[in-house]
Amino acid sequence: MKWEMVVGLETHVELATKSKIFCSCSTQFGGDPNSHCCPVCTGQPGALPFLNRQAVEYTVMAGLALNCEINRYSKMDRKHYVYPDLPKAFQVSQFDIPLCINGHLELSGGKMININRIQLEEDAGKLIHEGGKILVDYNRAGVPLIEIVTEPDFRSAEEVVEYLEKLQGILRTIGISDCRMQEGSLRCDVNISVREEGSSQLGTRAEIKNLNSFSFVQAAIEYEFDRQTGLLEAGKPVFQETLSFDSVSGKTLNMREKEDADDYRFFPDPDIPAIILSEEDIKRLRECIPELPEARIKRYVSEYRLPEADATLICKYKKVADFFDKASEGLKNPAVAASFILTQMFSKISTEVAREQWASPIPPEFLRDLVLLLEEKKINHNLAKNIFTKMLEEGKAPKSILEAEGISTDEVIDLDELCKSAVYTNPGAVEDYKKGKKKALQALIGNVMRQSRGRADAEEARKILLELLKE
Amino acid sequence: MSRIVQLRGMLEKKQISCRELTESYLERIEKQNGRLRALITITEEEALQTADTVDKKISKGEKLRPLEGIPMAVKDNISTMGIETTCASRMLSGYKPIYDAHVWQLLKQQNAPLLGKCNMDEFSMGSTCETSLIGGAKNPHDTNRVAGGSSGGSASSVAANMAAYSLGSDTGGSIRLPASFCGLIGLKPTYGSVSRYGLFAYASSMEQIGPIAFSAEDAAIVFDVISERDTRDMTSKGISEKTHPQLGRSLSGLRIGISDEMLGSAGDDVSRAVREAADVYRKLGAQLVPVSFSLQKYVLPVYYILSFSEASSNLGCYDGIRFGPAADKYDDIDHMISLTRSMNFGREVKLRLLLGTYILSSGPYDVYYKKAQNLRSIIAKQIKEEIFNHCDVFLSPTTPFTAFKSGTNLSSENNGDSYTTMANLTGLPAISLPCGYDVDNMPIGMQLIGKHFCEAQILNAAYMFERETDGAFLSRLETGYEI
Amino acid sequence: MITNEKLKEIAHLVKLYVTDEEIGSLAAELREYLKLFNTLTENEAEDISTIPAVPLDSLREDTRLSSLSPEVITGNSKHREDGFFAVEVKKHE
Repeated sequence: MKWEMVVGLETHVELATKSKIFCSCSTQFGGDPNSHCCPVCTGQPGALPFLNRQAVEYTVMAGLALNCEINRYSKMDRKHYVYPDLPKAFQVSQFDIPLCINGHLELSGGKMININRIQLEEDAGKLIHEGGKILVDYNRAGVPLIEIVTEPDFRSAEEVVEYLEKLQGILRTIGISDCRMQEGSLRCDVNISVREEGSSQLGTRAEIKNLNSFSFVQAAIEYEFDRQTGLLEAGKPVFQETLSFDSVSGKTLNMREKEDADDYRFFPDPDIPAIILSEEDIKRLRECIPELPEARIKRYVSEYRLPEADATLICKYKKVADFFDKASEGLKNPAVAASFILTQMFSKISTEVAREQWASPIPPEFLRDLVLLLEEKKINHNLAKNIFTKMLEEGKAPKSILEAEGISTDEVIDLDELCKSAVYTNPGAVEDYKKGKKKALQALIGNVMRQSRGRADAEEARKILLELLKE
Repeated sequence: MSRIVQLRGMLEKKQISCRELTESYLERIEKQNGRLRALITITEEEALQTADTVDKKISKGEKLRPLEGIPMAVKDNISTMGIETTCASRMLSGYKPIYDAHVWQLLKQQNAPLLGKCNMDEFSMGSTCETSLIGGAKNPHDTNRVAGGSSGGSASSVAANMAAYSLGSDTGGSIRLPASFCGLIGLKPTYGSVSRYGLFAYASSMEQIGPIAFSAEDAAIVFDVISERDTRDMTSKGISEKTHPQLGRSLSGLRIGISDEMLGSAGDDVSRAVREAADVYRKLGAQLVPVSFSLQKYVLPVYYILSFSEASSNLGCYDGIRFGPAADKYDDIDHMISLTRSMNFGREVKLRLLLGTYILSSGPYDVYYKKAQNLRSIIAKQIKEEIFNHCDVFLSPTTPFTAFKSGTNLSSENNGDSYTTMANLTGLPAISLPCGYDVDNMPIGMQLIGKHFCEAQILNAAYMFERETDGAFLSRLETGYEI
Repeated sequence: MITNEKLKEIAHLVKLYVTDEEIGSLAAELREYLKLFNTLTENEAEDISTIPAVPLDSLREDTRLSSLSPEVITGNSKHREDGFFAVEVKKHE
């Protein structure tokens, strides 16, 4: 029996607004418990919501970047359930008329993941279980979230991870969220069921929640697929349940009893008027969307002739890509600039967070100048590498570093002359080479390098010397 | 006939100090509140402190603002920071709000001495005031009878001269009915003209805060102050022009709609008084236009369905975690929350929460809620077409009867809401003004409903009626400080 | 009419306990209200319901203002600890 998995995702993304969705409390992460709170976000009686325009705009931008239709008329609804982290005993969300619908995200290879909807909603507070008590902190209550719901289009864990990485790239690029799973600004719930390959029926699905890294998402899906297929092959039923993933054991575990499907009693929030978006609004927000990662990667591959893997890595971080674009202006071979970024700069700026922030010690123009020197053959790769190291340490321009080293780039290197000179002044080495000591060639190359103060291209020198030595 | 204007005159002329004035109110409260139960909380210190501030201003010769120094009371569902606000429910015993309602901020800015928080039906659910945790407010005209609800204490305090005016709230008639029972003016403003920020919500899409006062001019003065724009309430727009300067305009040509059917369904004394009032208007040059409203029978069911649903949602925040007397013995958090709510909510509240939750549950939602929402729009459309396309204001009794004896059981179909709720469903402004007395000498109230944001028009119509009748029907109980 | 069963489900959703006795005492009123509600079902009118709507520029500017202190926020609660609301999971005195 061949089985296939059918997976849909519900992804919650915290929007990077300065203030909460319904009040002007700070959305800043951290802070003493209940120090970013007010009557509105702690559900005090009589308090009323005042909707944050930026939250709506960010939602629309997400929709535009994900190829959605934007509902010109959209409303907020109340979703009722009781839990200590929900101060009003309802969450304001969007039920039947969300801001964005019918979008898609394309995976490599051309497969489309269809996006059913993107809805704007508010986050709940945080609960800590400690010492027989539940500690409640409402700092997070009221932070605006978007929920992105896909159709059950995924057929493998790899597809899911690819989707999440691309989603993260897009949302970071448009600047609406920092999408960090470990910090909770990107949360992912997986709905997974299993069916016979070729069937069009859907199996009973389980929901896996509280996954906080891409690798856990992958592991959880793979484990759950095996678990469900195992049950079905043994003729046992799969129950609809909510699961969590235990990363230690690598297993999915039941989180709660099969719930009576909660009756959320959705109805339109009477305190919040519906929102009307004009064509002008949509146009203006569309213009706020910069070049998206997909398009940028394609451009780097086709115009700059970067290998796809390099392009993908650079485009993962908007600021790195912006840096690279500037550093590549006027270069014949931007791939060289890319490799400096991906090797030396990335080893210096090594964490995800640091790369997102990209506090580069040098402006992109300095890198460009260095690559220009290479292109003009005024220095060679080795020297360039060393200079670049110093540039990163001291934050200085390449010309400054070279001057400090006493190396002038103005002198044109006549490689033929230097090689002839090396041969002429090192008869011993020439002898040794002709006797069969190949290593002697190195000494001659070394001589050329010294003469040129390290600027000569060693490979080129080798070729010329070999020619001369033939005589 | 404006109590507020007279009192302000006396303060400005230094005939009495603000402290003396406030003390006189506090004395009457001490003598009468035990019996009348108009106020749940009395804020003597706060009131006297404010009075002293006003006296300083007067001694410096500073001009007083419209409500400065005029002692008043506020319904106990309006948020007053640091002052216990309970909605007459055990669920909020000891609750001291951490912020001020917008309307209270406006009054505080004018140094309005707050005498106390007014008794009410628990969470505004009722029309007698008797679902209050401390028992209902009594009608000063006859203490065996109810003051009405849900703003019973707001009306009782003003009628007994324990406050120069008060603020109430109106979801289905809760300002107008008690005003009518107690011989006072009660104004339910246009939905969206007064900010609801700080009004402990019952039915968000219908309620408004408004004044209960001795006369139309008083109501106009208070309304002008409290209707200042507040962006914190997304449903509110404020009003663009003040109503007080517009009082005194001739009513000649005013088209007043009147429904024989509605009059016919009221008690004899009531319909007689309203018809006589209509005659007064005719004398003043108004034109009486017969109208009828074909969808009257749907008004109450639509009102209940929508208000109960909203209430069941709005009262979700009461769980004992952040405020409220929480249960002491429980097996888990869910248990704690359910026990807390069951122990602290009264019977009427529980009934409405159950019905409201039922209406929103899947199944009933389509049958009741969606239909009611739709009918609400249809009713609004029909009222426009059948009534307000033909007249400027609509005249009716405020309620079919006058204040009844305490402890009377009312049916859901006949609890006094039938004429008032159409204004809440449509958001139209409505005022109740006294127009007569019944055989037992109990006040009879008539209602004027106007077009959206036309408070000035209905206030003026009330004002001119008072003038024409020499204030004969204004409540004047011999209770001490007489004007 | 709503069965006792159903009523208890509803009560569970809205976090209320109702005993059979209480249901009994509320029964008459519940019946009355439902009868009244059911008068709507005879109305077959077309759906014209609208919700008031506002344009984007009437929404709130995204600025941060200072918040209230944790002491004030937790001030009305019996259960608080170090700025948190702290509810015991079980309490048996």
